[in-house]
Parts: sequence; C-alpha cells; structure tokens
Amino acid sequence: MKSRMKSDFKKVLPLYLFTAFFVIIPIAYAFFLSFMTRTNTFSVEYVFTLDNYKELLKPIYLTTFWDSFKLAIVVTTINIVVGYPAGLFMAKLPERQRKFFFAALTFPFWINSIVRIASIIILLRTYTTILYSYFAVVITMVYALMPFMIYSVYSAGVKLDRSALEAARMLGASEIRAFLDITLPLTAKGLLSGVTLTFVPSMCLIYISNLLGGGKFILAGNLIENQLIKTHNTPLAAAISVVLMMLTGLVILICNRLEPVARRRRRAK
Amino acid sequence: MRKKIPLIYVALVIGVLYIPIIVAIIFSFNDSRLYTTWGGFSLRWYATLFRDEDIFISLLNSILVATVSSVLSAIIATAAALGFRKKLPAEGFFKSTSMIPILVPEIILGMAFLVFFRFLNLPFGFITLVLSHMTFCIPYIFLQVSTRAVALDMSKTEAARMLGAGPFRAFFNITLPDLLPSILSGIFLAFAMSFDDVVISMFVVGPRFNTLPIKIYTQVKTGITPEINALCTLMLLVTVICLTASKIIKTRTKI
Amino acid sequence: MKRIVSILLCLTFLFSFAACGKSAEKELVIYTWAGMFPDEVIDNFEKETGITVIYQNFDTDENMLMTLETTKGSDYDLVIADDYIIEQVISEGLAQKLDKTKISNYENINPTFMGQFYDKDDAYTVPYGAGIMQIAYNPDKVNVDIKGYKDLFDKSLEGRVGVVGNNRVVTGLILKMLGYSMNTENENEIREAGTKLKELAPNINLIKDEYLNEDLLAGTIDVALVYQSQATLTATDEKGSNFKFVMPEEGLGFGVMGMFVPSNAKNSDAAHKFIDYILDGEVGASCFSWMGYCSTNSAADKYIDDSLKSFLTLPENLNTENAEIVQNISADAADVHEEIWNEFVKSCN
Repeated sequence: MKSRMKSDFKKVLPLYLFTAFFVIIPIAYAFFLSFMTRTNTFSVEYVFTLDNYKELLKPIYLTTFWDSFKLAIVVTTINIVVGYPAGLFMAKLPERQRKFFFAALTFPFWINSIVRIASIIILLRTYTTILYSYFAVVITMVYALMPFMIYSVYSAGVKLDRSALEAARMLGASEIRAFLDITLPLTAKGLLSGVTLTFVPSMCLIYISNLLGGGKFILAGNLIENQLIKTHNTPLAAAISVVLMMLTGLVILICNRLEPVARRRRRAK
Repeated sequence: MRKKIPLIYVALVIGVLYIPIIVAIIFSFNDSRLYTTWGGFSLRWYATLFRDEDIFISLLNSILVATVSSVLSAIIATAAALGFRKKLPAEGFFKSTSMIPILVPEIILGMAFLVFFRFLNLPFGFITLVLSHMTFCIPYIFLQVSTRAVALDMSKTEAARMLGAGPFRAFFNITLPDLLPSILSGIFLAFAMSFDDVVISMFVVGPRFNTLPIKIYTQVKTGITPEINALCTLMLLVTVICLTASKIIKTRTKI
Repeated sequence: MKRIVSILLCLTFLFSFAACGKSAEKELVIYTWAGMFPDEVIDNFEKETGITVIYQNFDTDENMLMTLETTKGSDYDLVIADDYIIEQVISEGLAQKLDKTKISNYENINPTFMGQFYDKDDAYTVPYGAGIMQIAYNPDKVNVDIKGYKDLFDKSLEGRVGVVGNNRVVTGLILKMLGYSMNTENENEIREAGTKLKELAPNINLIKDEYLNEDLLAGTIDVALVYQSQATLTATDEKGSNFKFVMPEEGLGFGVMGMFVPSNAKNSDAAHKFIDYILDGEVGASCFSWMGYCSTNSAADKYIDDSLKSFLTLPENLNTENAEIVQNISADAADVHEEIWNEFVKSCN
C-alpha cells in the first residue's frame, strides 16, 4: 500500500513542483514587494513599510474599489441570469447538439479578443448611442465573460443524474420544486465556479473599460496598470494586487462555503 | 414546441457571441483603413496580409507557444488528475494554489512573473512565455480531466495489471483512451487561451520573440488595420476546415 | 512514447527555425512603436545596405524602458521613443554616444529640436518627428470660436469633448492655462490645476490615447485635444476637410521623439547607417508624411507634399517662447498628478 501511495505521489509531483515554483513563489515575491519602500527615483528599496497599504485608504482608492466591486456585481448577476439557464439547457440537449454548442462556445476565442472588442465598438457606434457609457462597458464585459459562466454550469449540468430528476417528477414534484430540490443543489458547484471565473476578472478587464467606457471608468485593474506603468510605483501596485487577491480569496471562500449549504439542502429532503 | 425552448435559448445566447465575429469578418473586406467607415468591398487587406512576413512569424510563434504549453500542461495535469484519485499529502493546498492563475487577475500574474523571471535571469522570450502560459493551461486541463479521472473504472486497469500488463501498457491501452476525449478538450481550451493571451505575455515577451496578440496589441497606437481582421478570418476558416475534416474522418472510421 | 517525444522535438525545432530565420550577422533590430516607417523605406534600406531589418514593437515608453533594463541595453540596435523616457534611459546608462562622423546627413536636423532637456549636448540622440498638442473641432457642430484651452470649458460643449489619455499632458496644459509650468513640482499648483480640471468634467465624453481622429470623424465627439498625428489624420480624411485646428493661445505643449543606440547594441554600425539614411531629405519626407508627425529634418521640409505642409512643418510665425515639453518630475509630484487625474476621471462619469 505504501508503494502504491508513493507511485501516486510521483504522478502529482510535477504539478506540486511547478505550482510551487511558478505560482506560489512569484506571488509570494509580489506580496513581499508590497511591504517595501518606493524611493524618489522610482526604484524599490528593501525597507519594510506599511505606507502602501495606508495609501490605499485614501478616498480615491476606496471609491474606485467600491465602484469596481459594484460593476462586478452587476456583470456577474447578468451573467448568472442569462448564462445559468443556457448552461443547464445545453447540458440537457442530445449529445450531438451538446457537442456542437460546446465547440461553438470555445470557437470565439480563435478571433483575437482585441479584434472582437473593436467589432463591438463598430456595432455600438453605428447602431446605438451608448458607446462610451457605463452600459457599453457592462454589456461588453458580459459578452466577454459569458462563455466562462456557460462552460462552468454546463460541466456541472452534464454530470447531473437525470434519473433522480425523473423520479422526482414521477413522484409528482412540480417543475419548480424539482429544480430547487435537485437541479440547483447539484449544479451549485458549477454556478459558483462560474461566479469565481467572472467576478474577479470583471474588476480587471481594463481594455474593456478603457475602450468602451471612453476612459471615464477606472477599475481596480486600472489602478495596478497605472501604478506599474505610469507612476512606476511597483510596491503600491503590489499592494493593490494583494488586496485584489485577498478579495478573490474571499469570493472563493464564500463560494466554497455556499456549496455544501446547497448540497445539505438536498440531503435534508 | 415547448421541448424546443432549451435549444432555441442556447442557440440564441451562443449566437449572440458570434455577432462581433461576423462584423470582424465583414470588415476584413472593407476598403477603408478606418474602422468606423465602410468604404466598399475589397480584398486589399488579404493582399497586404500575404506580404506581411512579420505577422506570419508572430503567428507561427503563437502556435508554437500555445502547442508546447498546452501539451506540456496536459502531461502534468493528467498525471496529477490520476494521482489525486488517492488521498495525498498537501493535496488540498496544491489543488487550490494551482488554480490561482485562472482566478487571479492576469495583470497581477504578469507583474509577478516579470519580477520573478528577472530575478532568475531567464532569457525573455519562448521559455518565459511557455512557463507563464503553462500556469493557466494546467488548471484548465486539470479541471477537464480530473472529473473524468475520478469516474474512471479502476477495475479495468486492475484487471489488466493482474493479467500481467505493465503499468505503462495498462496506461496506454486502458486509461489513456478513456481519458483522451477530456484531455483533448482540455488541450483545445488551453490552446485557445494561450493563443489569445495578451496581458501576461506583455510582461514576459522577449525582444526577438513576438506573439500574435502582442503584435496586434502594439498596433493599437497606430490603429489596427483590417489586415488583422483578414488574418482572423483566415484562421477561423482553417479551424473550421480542420474540425470538419476530423469529424468526417471520425465518422468514416466508425463505419 | 518515445516516438511522440521525438515528433514533438522535431516540431519544436522546425518552428524555432521558422521563428529565428536568418543569422544575427547583418541584422539591425529596431525597437519602437508599430507603424513608424513606411514599408518602402525599410525595404529600400535593406536593398541598399544588405542589412536585414528586424522591426520590434512596444506599446508604451515605459514598457520599452522596462525591457531595456531587463536586457541591460543589448538585444536592440536602435530605439525610437519619447523625449522624457530618453532622459531616463540616458541617466541609467542604457544609451551609447553617437559617432557623428558616421552620420553624413547630421546637419539636416532642424536646430529647433536640438539641445532639448533630455540630451542637452545632442550626444546620444537624433530627433525623429515632433508633435504639438492642438485642438481639433468640427465648426459645423460647434458654435464657439475656439482659440485656446479655456474655450473647452464652454457650457455649450457638454458631453462633446475628447482629450488624449495622457494625464501629464492634459493636466500640464491646464497648468499652462493657469500660467504655471507643465513641469511644476509645487503640490499646490498641481492641485489647483486638478480643481480646474474637474470643472471640465461635464464636457468630457472621451479620454483615450489612440485614434481620437476616428471619434471626431464619426461624430462621437466634436471637439478634441489631440496629438499632432491625430490632427493630420483628421485633416487628410475626406470627412475632415472642413475641420479647424487650433494652436492654443495660452501656450503650447509639444513632444519630440528621438532615435538612440542602446549601450550594448550588437550592431551599432548598422544603427548609424540607418540614422544617416533616415536623415536624408527625401527619405525623411516620406517618413513624416507616413507618420503624420511634424518634420524634425530641415532638408525634408521641401519634399513634403503641399497638402500636408501646413501640418508637417512648423508654422513660420509660431510662438515657441511659451512652448514646453513634459519632463520627468519627482515621484511625489507624480503621485499628486496620479491622484488628481483619478479624481478627474471619476467625476467624468
């Protein structure tokens, strides 16, 4: 048994090493930088400070984070409302159609995203008056992130045990009841992973906010970009990144907590 | 009719995703240099494209980076997915940390990679691109393969082992064919993500090694010309042809 | 398994040969923005000298500096970038002194653009194109006779103004309007400009750095504070023939782009040859006409097409006394700039 475990461990070892080296260490280094001092000549001095985090408490940063957060909520909500049913329906389709739509979902990635965004600009400019508005930013973000939501829900939906649903329906449960008791709890994982895949990116899709919002909307991601590229304040950029990462962690934590809740609901029945 | 509602809804939502793509294709035939105006039908951008050596080199580079990083990632991710069928030490920690790259905003990763690779003194270019793309290719493939690996029928493998098949034989004859569809769809997704990546690549790209998205992105300052649309249209065409061809071959061999 | 690996390896080699191409012997690696030279110019240079040009792009000056720092000034033979960043490049020792004996066309440089702050003795750089910030507007849709920055605040222009996305330039021009220097490090002056800038917010519909000309022509905005190249592009479009272009009376903000050879360039000889080639009058004229930037080459002026002349050469009566270039300022002052700019952007929506 011991050797069995050893051989399994050998299989995961490349992942462990790669993750340690190229994910954990770089991020740890960024974390370290966020506590360092920026000198007046734009370089970094290895002296511990909390100033970068104090700087973030200024109203301009707090309001930017808050506005960015609100935008992310709006975008994620629309994605759930439109994408969740799409993913579920897709999972229920016959296999041939299912495979077709799955391919159709990954296909747009073959057209460069900047080109796609440029096309949206043409569309909005020609047929609407909403270019360079909040609304334009929202719909483009929904557009960009929708495939991720559909994909997550679909993956969970495909695994759904159809027989349980049919049994419930046969026992006279209404469609709504069956959905609430069976479908929703069992696809909650996909929905929640869809939320994590859309929520945080929508705080950082700076190209969309820049190009569609006419430069009038600053996202949390813009703050990082500006500090890194314009002001050369790497430690402050790192600090903003750390805060954003913590926020990401929080969203994931909440989602992980919610999932067992949804499952328990099913078990209680 | 009611039965058709799911199909119509899915077709509608996914169809909407294609509207900008159709516009992009139409504008590849635009005679005008500007994106805002339609200047009549023309093939001049296709002609320009075929004379543009730089674009083709960066296209090749992009294909190379995306292929190498998705294939290497597939090996690591598949091995890990198989290993994780058993409880292993530090499993939870590495499972969640390896997901970080697809959850955390790209700009953060790009920044982290830049400072880290500079610290390691790695030559910027192919190697740094592949390493950084692998960080987000691995989780995409892992997510695809792991659900399948868990559901894998272990008894078949064990039976084969008992009948005297070596571990590699058992893997190639039984496990791999079972996992292949999910590995391939994972590779497909990872390839697409790597092929379209701008933000992370921007930070780790090298002086003599440009990828296509970077090439396009750096053109933003002087204006993207419909040449890029022409390129995207052709690439789309190639993809469609490849997919249809593989489909036809598959159905033929089945018969 | 071995077969798969070997196939993979073969593929890798195949691709990397395709990517590398020719040997590094007779190569000139130019590092600049996309679209800085017409194809003919590069082609002809290659034909004349037998040197292969490798054209590499960056998107922002800052990224260029970052790569130069990473590569310690090697990998590239010639870089073209903006004035303020060149100052940093030189101070970090990433540029090498030019050998003017190798540049026979050196005296063609327009003296107006020499001896600038970033290279006071002209030891490291040769200017390649300059731009003056101007106001472009569509007189059919705007009822104000625009003469300067102050007219952008006019109440009738609500939601119809666009400005470039460079905070130092825009805030800098507001500073000029208030009678200060664009490069002041006095926090109170910068904050005063910030307050003034906020008054402009209701009029702003667009803040972006790239192709403001397209938005002007499409009518998304009717007035814009634009870079010279964007003004040229607007004027040369058939829809833009009636547009007006104003050199603001309160003072001008301008910028110069410069060519320099990185300190450890592998082929600095080829770089000198290229500089000399570009400084030729006729070649220069076709370059500036292509880019839409103001000519920095006196010998080129006479070759520039008459229809473009008013845009690509300096007006004779131009008052350059009150003209300024954005320069590097202290990190603290830059932080204040960043803060007031963020506040301005937020009040625009």
